[in-house]
Amino acid sequence: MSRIIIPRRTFLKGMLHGAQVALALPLLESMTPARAEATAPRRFGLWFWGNGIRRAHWIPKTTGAAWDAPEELAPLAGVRRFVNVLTGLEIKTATHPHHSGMTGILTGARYHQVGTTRDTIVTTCAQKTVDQIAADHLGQGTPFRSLEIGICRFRGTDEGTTFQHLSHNGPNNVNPSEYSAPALFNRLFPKLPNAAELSARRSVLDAVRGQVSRLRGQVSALDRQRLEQHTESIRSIERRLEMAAQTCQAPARPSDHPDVMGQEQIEQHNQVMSDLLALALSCDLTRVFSVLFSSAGSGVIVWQAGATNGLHQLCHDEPAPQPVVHQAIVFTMKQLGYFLSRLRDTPELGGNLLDSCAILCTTELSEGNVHSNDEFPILTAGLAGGKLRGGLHVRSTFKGNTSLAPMSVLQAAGCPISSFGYGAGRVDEGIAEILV
Amino acid sequence: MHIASSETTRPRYGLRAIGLGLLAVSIGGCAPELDVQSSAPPVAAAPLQLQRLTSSRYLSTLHSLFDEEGFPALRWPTQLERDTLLHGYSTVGASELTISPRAAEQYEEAALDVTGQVFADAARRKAWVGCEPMSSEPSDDCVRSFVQNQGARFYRRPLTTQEQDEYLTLIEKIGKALSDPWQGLRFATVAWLQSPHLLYLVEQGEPDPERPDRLRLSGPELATRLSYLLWNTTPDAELQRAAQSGELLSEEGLLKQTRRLLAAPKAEPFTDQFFGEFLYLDRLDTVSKNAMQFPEWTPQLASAMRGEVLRLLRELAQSGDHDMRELFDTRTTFVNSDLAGHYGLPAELTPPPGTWKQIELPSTMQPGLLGRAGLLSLFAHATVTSPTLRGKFIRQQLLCQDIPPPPPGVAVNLEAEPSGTPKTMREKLAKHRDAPGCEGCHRLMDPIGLSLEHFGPTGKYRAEDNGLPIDPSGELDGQPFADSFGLASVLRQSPRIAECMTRQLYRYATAHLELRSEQEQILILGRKFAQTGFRFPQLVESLVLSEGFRYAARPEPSTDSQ
Repeated sequence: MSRIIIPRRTFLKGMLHGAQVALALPLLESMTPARAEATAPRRFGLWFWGNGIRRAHWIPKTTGAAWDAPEELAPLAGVRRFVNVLTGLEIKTATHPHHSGMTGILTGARYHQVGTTRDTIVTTCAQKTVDQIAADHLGQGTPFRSLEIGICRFRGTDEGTTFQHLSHNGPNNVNPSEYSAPALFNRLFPKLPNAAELSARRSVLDAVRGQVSRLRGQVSALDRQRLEQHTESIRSIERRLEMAAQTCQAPARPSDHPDVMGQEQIEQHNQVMSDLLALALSCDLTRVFSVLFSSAGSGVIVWQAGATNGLHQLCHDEPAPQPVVHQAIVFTMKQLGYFLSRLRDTPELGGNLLDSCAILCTTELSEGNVHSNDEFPILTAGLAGGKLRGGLHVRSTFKGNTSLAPMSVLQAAGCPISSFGYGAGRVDEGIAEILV
Repeated sequence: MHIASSETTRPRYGLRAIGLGLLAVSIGGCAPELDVQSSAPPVAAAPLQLQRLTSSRYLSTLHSLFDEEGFPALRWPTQLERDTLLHGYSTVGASELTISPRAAEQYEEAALDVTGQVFADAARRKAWVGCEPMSSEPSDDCVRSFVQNQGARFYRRPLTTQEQDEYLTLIEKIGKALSDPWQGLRFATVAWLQSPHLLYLVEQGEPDPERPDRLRLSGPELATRLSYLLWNTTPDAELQRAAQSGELLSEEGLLKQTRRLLAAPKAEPFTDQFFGEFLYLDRLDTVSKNAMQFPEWTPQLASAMRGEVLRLLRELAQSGDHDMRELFDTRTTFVNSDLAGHYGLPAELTPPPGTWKQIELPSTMQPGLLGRAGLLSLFAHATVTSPTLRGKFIRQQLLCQDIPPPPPGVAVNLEAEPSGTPKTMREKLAKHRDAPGCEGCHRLMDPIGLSLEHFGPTGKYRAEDNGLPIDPSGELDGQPFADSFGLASVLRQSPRIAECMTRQLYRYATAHLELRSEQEQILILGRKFAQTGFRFPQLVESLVLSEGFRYAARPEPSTDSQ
């Protein structure tokens, strides 16, 4: 069984030069999608949680298809054949654990520091995040170019957008996540306006877009870029109004789950948001999504794991071997498991939604207590319409670049990109072991 | 590029060499503090940035524009993008962030909803529009006066002829399509509410006749800045008048309007907003405490804690009768019955439920900010206190000395506590004050916070920690103190307090992190604040009159061909 993870080109070179022993994995039947016809659209997803993992309990000890499931991956057992575990990769642009990890995995680039006259670090993504690269390619024909969803209430710091948001179009140019289930529902299933009002709204948006364009000529170069996004944002409403016909039956209006005795109802909230997202994908309202389960350095209190303090602080304070942090990660993987099983259980064209998705699941650092950017935790989920294998643990033996993972998932989702990342974070090939 | 500097320009933290262009405000890699450099660069204001309305300013603006006496309250939007705070402030975030697709949707929804309510009521729409349109034609007197008069309220300046024509055309088109001139007016309003001229504080400046190397804000631009700073909403008619007449461009005119705004009850949102962000009070709603240990912790109590500190700050800041350093030793505070119970106050200091009372704390209790439960709860964990977080807050927010994060690769967690041998928090944190790699920063934070150990995670007084006696002694920059009263007195006397409050207000008011070129100006404003007896209204006045508030650097020549 292959114990290496190498770029496809290197893989071929390796074979040619005979310098490396690299075995292609057998195509097991369980690794290929069961669907008869491959006409379902491919989708790209990003599922993010904050504060990393515990290596001892997350990294499988064996590689290949027969990997053992350590306790922190056990909650994914039900979707195992759709999931690849990628280990041994590291951020090549690391200077600060949370910030570099976040921008490293999402953009393959260093962070941009916002303001230089303080010693505290406030950062944003210098480049667009992986989901928005996907949206450039997959987001055009659907009502929503991309959907951003948040699960755990934001309990972070003001150290910049990298700590507060997930999806970025560029520096300080974010797509904020929607945290409210009723608001998400209203967004996905709006009341259809009558024709007269529709045309009035179009006229207004057209006028406003004109004003934004004219203003662009009168502001600084920096602000011009911000106004370009504003124009794009207005266009996205206009595009949706053009597609106004409702193609999907709205489900019952969901409600939010307020705290019970001061305890955040994370599990229930994750369920309702995951259900809505699965429906949005099934209805083809979008083909690109990101889920901010918890933010980088999140202070979410995972009371289900016995935590009484925020997770970030627990990672700092809890004495080794950090049993509560461990249980919090088990809980987090269980929530991911719920979302993935929801996709798996949504039938589509003889298969299911997870067959057609390519989802990058990751965090901003390896272990919270040492704040490390090596041994980066990465999963892929979904079979991308047959473009991704599943069920494998692939471990890099040479500290490969984390950018290989987003590159692979983007390629599998059908984005014709030739590289991912910048500078030391750049890669030109995906991971041979998982790409079909 | 979008961002002024990149990561690569910044020395790696933690190992930062001393003297690498460090500013007086920074601690660098937790090196000893540096003196102010005498060769400061000449004063220069920052270039202009488009500042979005923060969510609270957007809502206040809707109130100012649509509240109508004699009519029922409107239903206001609840789905607005949460502000992204940068460097602690919503205004700084608003100068950097864009209007996302989601935000644009929310603005459109809000515009449709609010105008729908206003125009659905025949009497209300007539009162709000001020006349009745006979047709949707641009020649209609009502339509014309509507565009001119209401438009100026939304744009915060008179509309140009071209702008007026644009709205007249829109009204005609929609009014005719829907066979209802009122709908024409309604959708013009929908457009105003989404216009970049409403959603941003559009500032372009004009040549400063006295100094060609810089721009000055025009009258209406300055009025808008001033109004959003001091009232958190759009300028009123009097301020617009002063803007149009040119009065605001003179120091006397600006001072007169500043004093008028500051003295009005409408200035309350200013102190609430600024101090709420400065002191992190808005984050109290995300604080949780262990319910088994602290059953008293409820959202209501947390909200009361925020209310207490805001009321105290209003009292100290607004009247102009107080030295802001009283923040550390005033016995005055404000309680409702929940808080009085929380503090264990006697019955005569406890107001009836649902009311607030201004009280004088007993002399045995910690006076001022350091004894307020809101702050003490914010900077503590769910089960235990955090001298580190308390010390960090005092360093970073009150003294403006930033502390870098722990270096990568260092295991930051404390060792397990052997069962049966309880330790105090002071003992548990000893490792951080001694271990190489940790001690440099922790010694800047922990000895401050340890003096507050008599206050538990919800700010209640406690005699013991873990069943052991508490040693509340501490130290700040070489000044030892026996307990939290001593800390308060050291802080009160620290010259940094005035300078730091000035710096924080400067960031909030000018909506950007100060540039190096602005450092000297901030130090001067801080000294002036001290010279005027630390009166907050005086600080606001001198800040409003400063170069940073009224002027801007000329934009760099653009290489962008667009």
